[in-house]
Amino acid sequence: MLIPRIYNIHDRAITIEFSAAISEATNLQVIALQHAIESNPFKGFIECVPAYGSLTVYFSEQVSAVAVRSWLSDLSAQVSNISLATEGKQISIPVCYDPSLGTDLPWVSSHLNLSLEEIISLHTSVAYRVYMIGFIPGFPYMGTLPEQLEVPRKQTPSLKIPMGSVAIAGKQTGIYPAEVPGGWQVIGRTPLKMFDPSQSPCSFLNAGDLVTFMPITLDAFNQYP
Amino acid sequence: MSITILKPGMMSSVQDLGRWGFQQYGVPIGGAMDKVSATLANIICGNDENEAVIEMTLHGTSIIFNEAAFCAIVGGGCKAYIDDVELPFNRLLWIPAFSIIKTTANLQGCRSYLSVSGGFNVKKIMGSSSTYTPSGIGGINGRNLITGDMLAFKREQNLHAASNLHMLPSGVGISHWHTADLVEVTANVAIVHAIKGPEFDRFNAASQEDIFNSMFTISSRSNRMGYRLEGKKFTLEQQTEMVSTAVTTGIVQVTHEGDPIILMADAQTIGGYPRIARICAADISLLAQTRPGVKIQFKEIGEEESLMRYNRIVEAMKRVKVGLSNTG
Repeated sequence: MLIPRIYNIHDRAITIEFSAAISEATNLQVIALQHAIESNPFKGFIECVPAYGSLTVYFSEQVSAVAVRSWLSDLSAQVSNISLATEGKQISIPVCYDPSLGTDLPWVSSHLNLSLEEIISLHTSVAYRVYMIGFIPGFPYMGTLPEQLEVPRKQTPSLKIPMGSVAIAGKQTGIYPAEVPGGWQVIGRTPLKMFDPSQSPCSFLNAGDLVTFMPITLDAFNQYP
Repeated sequence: MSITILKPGMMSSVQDLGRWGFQQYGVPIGGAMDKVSATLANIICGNDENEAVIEMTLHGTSIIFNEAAFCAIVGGGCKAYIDDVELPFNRLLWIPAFSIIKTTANLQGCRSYLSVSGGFNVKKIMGSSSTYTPSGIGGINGRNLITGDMLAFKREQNLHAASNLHMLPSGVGISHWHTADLVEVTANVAIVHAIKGPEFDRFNAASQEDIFNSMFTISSRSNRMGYRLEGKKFTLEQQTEMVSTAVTTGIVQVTHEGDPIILMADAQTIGGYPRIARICAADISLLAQTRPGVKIQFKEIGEEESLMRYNRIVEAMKRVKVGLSNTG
């Protein structure tokens, strides 16, 4: 059993860090703890923020930080024993891997010495776990990418990565929910909206979801409803 | 019942106390940079503390009142005038119809908050009126205010303190009472209380020494997301990549180049840089009132003192509220 490290990141926010590494087992534990807290919130609880190997809990002045800390410490010890059956949704996301949208495909292809078809087949070959949502609203950090597809981030980030861009970096893959600067290598684009403030939840994906990518043609992308 | 922005000045936006409950989807808390002053402005106007206010950064803002209204200005970074009459901060003000409030330079402070009694009628997005420009949500169309923007008032103004104003010949009314300045605004060195951060131990000895014993200047490359600091550079004992984890307002993270950044109101929810320190939550408003070019120094405190200082601010706000409700 992992003994978590517990520390404040704010006078009203405490982090329980199970591991400083990326692993599915740890992330399952993080999500399990999140669900345990949300299903039985303490007085003054505001919200949880799951990350790869840690969960951060925000609370109001209705409760003392010392009390929250000791309560979380007890609960996180229990959570490693309780069932981790908190699987997320399974979601298939259409992606067009046309080089006109996956603008870094030529670079990735020559860097990895893989054909376009091989890149698509590798990227669509596994189901990815959504470890967390962050960076900007709705951005999913997903893993683990097949080893043959690992590429470094760009030396200089692009100033504008279009909304819906599907990108890779290191062992991760992600989707840009808005047009922002970014350093990941763009290999395709999805017509789906990853962030929509008028929807509930506002993020298309949640931490814990399992994602597969489904290749679509440029025509299908352009005609997507 | 409305006001119209004639000039937004350096930067003006609609803010409240933040968008809570959506950080797990990557949505920052955001809201007023100086939440103490924004809250005070609302308390003075008899509003709910979380009403939308206008955050004015430094000076150059010009706003016309299309109808007479009660309002309040709290914070720093500017002086406010109607014609030649300087408007005092921290007091309830009666502004006659068609008056224009203009702000001019003030060496102290950085942000001021304008509230109107009853509040502005701004649509809430995900529970908040706060403008968050990177996602284009909140405020007016998710952007900062521009010339011509009109902000309507929510309702007729009914006010506890409408009584007993000091009336100037111009028709401007000023309350006899004022609230205490809860945020100390400085033009010199800002002393900011800070606690060792989660990765403090991973920095080398010189860095551990420097963070609490040297002076920094707030860079002009600072914004609502973060304050970049100029001064000593920081180095990890061992260069290792960190796995991303939650960050929030007040975290002092160190970039790969060794530069510290203090995360402010629009801080992203998750970060991957080592965190050498965190600012006591009670001092965030002071930082928000500290402008680029001003020097700051971190004074090390422990967890307990940090909590105590934070609770003290919470209590002080409560006292102001109780005090005002007893004011005629």
